[in-house]
Amino acid sequence: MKQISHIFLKDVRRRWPEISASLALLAAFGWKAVFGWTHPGEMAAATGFAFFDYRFLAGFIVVVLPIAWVFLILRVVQSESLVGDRQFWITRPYEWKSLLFEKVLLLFAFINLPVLVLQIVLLWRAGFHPTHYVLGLLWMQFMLCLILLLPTVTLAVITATVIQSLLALLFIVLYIVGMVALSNYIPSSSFSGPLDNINPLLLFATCLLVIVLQYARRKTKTARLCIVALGVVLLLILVATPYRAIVAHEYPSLGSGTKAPFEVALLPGKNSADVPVTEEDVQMSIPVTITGLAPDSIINFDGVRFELSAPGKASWDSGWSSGGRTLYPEQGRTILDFTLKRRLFDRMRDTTVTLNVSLAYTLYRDQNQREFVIPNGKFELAGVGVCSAEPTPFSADFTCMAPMRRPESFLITADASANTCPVDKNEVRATPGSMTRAWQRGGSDPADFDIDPVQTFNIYASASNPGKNGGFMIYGFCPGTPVVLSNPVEVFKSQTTFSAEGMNLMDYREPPPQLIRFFRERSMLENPIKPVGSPHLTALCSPRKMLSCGFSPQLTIE
Amino acid sequence: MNNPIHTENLTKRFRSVEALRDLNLVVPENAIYALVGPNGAGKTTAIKILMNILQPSSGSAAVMGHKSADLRGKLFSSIGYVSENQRLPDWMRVSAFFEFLRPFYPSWDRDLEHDLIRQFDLPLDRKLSKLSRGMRMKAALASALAFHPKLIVLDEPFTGLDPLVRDELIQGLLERAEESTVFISSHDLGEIESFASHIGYLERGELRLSEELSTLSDRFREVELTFDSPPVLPAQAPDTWMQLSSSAAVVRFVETGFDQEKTNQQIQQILGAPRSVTVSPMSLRSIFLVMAKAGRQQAPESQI
Repeated sequence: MKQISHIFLKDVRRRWPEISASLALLAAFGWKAVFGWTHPGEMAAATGFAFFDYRFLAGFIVVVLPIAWVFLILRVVQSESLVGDRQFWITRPYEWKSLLFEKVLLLFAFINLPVLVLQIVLLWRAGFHPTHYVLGLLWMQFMLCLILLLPTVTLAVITATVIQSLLALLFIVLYIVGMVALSNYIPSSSFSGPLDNINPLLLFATCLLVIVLQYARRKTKTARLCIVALGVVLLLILVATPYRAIVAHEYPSLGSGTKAPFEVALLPGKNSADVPVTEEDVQMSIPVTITGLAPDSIINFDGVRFELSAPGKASWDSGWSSGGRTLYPEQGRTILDFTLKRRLFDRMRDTTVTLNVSLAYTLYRDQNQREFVIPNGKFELAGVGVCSAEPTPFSADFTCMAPMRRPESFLITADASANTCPVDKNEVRATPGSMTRAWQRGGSDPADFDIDPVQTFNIYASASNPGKNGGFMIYGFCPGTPVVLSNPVEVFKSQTTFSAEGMNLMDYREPPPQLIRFFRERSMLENPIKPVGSPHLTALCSPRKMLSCGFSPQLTIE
Repeated sequence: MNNPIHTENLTKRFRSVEALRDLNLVVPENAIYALVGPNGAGKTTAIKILMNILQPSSGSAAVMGHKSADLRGKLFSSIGYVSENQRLPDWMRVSAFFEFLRPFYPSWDRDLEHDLIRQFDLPLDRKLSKLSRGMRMKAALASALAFHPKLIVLDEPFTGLDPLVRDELIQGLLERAEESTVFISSHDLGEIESFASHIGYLERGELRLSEELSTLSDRFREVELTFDSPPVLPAQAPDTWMQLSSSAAVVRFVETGFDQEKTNQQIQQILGAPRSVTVSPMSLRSIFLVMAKAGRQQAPESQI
């Protein structure tokens, strides 16, 4: 203990500039967080740019604070460098356990503890009692250690100087870029699955091994080999994982006697033969109808897989990719998108093809429904936090502050015709039955990974079936709007497949955006109000609710 | 603990280069053992293995009764190690350096520390980075002596120092080394000769000799023989004769196993009766120059 405190004081004397800088930045982070809550308009309303306005400072602090911590860790650990054979301390009576504990203590004292104190202060300032969130606070500390401290300490123990560390970091970044690039060539590898937890576990185990190995034995070569071995293992996992078998296991097909919770059928496409195919990546849009979904059910497409075959010409399999799209009972249609290489498209375009679409989905049951009229100003929502729904020129969504984490599953449903938001020029009220949905889904951990324990977030509203009223329809949430709050829960995961034979690819091609724009303008000139029912309905979203209109190329809701 | 340092067949390879080969070294207690040899002989490698800075490829080394690979933590509280290449905490002032090290050593002697600081004339308020090379070595040595180490290991401590600093270091070392075993590697044979009790000669990773310095000095002699007419040099001289050469009627060689009676007999048998014989003792420097030259001429495996 004497040795620990002795080295600790030496390091504090030596590293006070780095310690002071990181503490000052942490204090600035606290200021940024509080300023963000108390001046919510600063971020949204600012239109200009100045070096010392809130947005710049907030962004600067968020970027620089982790860098300051990384620098502090490198400097502290490398004060007694474990790499090399010339350091005076390696032939002095340092106990390795004491030295390791001293570094841990110092990082705890000047990173973890100040963060914990700041988090308690922020919770208290936001009106949440800190003692109610002890588990969440501990979880945040745990995540901070796992995601930032442990990897950085590992980097520090296998390098002698900050420059060496940065070079090693560069190699790691290149490796990650390479892995990401490689994953693009491995079908289904981008689909999130149960194996996602293995890589972090391997990373953390290797970090711990390397740190202990270095402090106990100073076997730098062996420690670096462990890191290289980890890289090889992760590469092998990426390449050799049986993704399809895992998806089949995680999303088992329903038995022959069990009825699927919904049915999918292909809709006719819109031939775009008049638009020349010049793009290298040809975007395909497959409009489908979804029927049979129970009124209290929600489907989330977690993964989607497309297979094309043109007898005697070519066949193609996209592999599984993340779906990330949600279907509510009132929605009858959706669009499934994928991209084909031009070369393949050209080989199949003049013939009929068979399309097989596999959908890996999770079925949710909408539970705990309760009616609620949005009040003026801030209001408390049980299980969520403190929210408000004051419309801004840009949005009409819920803005909430939640302690520790976003709600795991919180759904807001409203009939858009009962919307109380002010109607701007060129906007119209939706017809009755036009539904607005906003589903906030967070993790199930005790806290989100963040420094700020007060999660500030928007719950975005989207029109799940906008109706047919013409013009830009209002569908946000404003004070006075009656809504239904609920908490959908997962029922089961499964997969389903549908086939379409005799398809002509040109009927489902989505021309490039600039050509779409050209044809849209031409179309608007010919017919100012576009008929509802087209797959390209996103053009009808109100400009001030653009964020909610689902401009994602992956999914266009009708 | 009889021998503070003891190695058996200690070998160290760096890829294809064999830096040490089957080193069998015994350093007796309270000896001042000087390990000498040309550059690249493996002296620093041997010391680094002894101090557990490097790991041997094969063989074993024991220091203070412990395997060198186990040498860490508390075991260093009785070992003082100073190397010319050691990286000191340059940001510390001299006073802070001593203050920092003090609690690590239960046997740290404040009076001795003050004596050493005074004797070495160390500027307490100056940062280590601002000290001259000689001053840094003195600071390092003082910090390695102030806790009465049982074993002092010095790797080339005199390299690049001016004679005055060298004298100060040696004096400081000798005054405090009575209770310690000193293991020192050095190029400075002249200085070593003045205080070493034992000597080891390392060449190309092999220990060519290891013995007491007095024995070594006794058995090496420069012999000069003058004959009436130029003698015929033998094709095969005795193994103990080195650098055999002749110039007209004068023959010179170095006898590495000098024994008055035996050497005279050998001369008579091989070269005949000389008109005069001059036998001169050799300095350590001369002895090792002869050995180094012989080492370069002979096959690496040959032994003296």
